[in-house]
Amino acid sequence: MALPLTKAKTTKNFASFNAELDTTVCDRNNNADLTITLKVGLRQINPPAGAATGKYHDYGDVTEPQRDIIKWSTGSWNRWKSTFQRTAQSYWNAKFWLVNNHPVLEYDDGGTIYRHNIFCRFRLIVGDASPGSSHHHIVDVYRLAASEPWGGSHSTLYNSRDIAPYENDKDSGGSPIMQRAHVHEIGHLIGLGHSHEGGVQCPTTGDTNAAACYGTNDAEKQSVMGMGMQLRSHHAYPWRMVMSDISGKGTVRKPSANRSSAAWSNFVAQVTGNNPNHTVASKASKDWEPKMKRHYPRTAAEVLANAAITTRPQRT
Amino acid sequence: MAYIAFAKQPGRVTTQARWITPAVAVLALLAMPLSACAQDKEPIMINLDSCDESPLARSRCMIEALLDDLSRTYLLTGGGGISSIDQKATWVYEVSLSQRERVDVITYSFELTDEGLVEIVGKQKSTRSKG
Ligand SMILES: [Zn+2]
Repeated sequence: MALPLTKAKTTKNFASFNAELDTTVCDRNNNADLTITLKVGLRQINPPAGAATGKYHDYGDVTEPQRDIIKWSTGSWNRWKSTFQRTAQSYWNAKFWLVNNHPVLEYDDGGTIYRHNIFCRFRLIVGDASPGSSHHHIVDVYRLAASEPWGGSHSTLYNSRDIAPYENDKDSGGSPIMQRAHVHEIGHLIGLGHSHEGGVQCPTTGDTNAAACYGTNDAEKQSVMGMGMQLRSHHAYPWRMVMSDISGKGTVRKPSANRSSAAWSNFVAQVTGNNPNHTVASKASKDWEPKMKRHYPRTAAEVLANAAITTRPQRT
Repeated sequence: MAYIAFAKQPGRVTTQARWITPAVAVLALLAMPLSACAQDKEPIMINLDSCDESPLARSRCMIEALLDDLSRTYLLTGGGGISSIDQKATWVYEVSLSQRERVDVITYSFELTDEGLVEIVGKQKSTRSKG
């Protein structure tokens, strides 16, 4: 699809999230907003027959060990949902800017044309999943008993402690690598794979949940898509993909918002440079180049000079 | 690879370890009474002439050997620990360790040596993906 020539709001719904590009906010100092909205429906898992306590199998799989669980109360459920929504949204919202390297999103302000970059926003809408409700993903949540040190979970089945910091591993210096699991899982839900995916020890043709896929060195392990909490510029992939899609400009692949798709594999190879078969399309790709610092709109001369305007310019 | 076996020496637990560091051998010795205490107030006596002395002796030698190997090589600090140890063939055991989004599976192959000890001759890692 082509972008409108005048300032407007453009929306597109993908299988795994909705996206809105808002150029009405563009002026000499402000970029376009690209908001990814993810609707997650949550469901309680409680002990059977209204009991206060019970057992639940790791990963919801009856072949796996059971953990002690307790019934959700209204208060505990509401507090959990609120923390989940607030912390996951704030983790992913307003962290990336995409530098616009295409002749689009160019608008006049005071007689000067500016090329606008993209400010990446994230909105998480959380509600109780019920028949007839509409969500991109449904996540079931069980409440671990206080005596339980751990419970098996994954992207659509959490335990109540998955919103709290947890030590997954230690780095080479012996420092703990901590993660709040839900922010990692939200990464999956918007299309991100594991930090070493596409690397030598985690080929995309194999199981991308294998231990090595979570990192083979400290940097990969510390990544939010490894075992830690660090955000990297290549995690802006979902926003880059949306921009390529709705602008028709750029070569960022368009996976069906599914980390196992072939297109996703190609993308991982591009951003990590790990896959020797994709050395040409390396992380140096300038298409909607992701940054973790604000880049202001540029004049034609600044674009020509390939300038990066990272401090607020004095525009006359 | 590591050897571990239990030799006859009445009155105390003895672990013989070969091809492993002295420190690991000491750790293994220390671990034995601790695990015994968890089951019984009296220390368990291990009196084996050979790991092939009985089916239980074989199993115990192999499981102790894989536990020793895991303690030294499986360094992830998170997860739910060992969820199962399954015998897959007479000389093959599979251990599963629970982690978020997956179960790490390590398959050990063993051989009995002429001295009646158990030797790890193969180790393969795989994953059972969850979710
Ligand atoms: Zn993951």
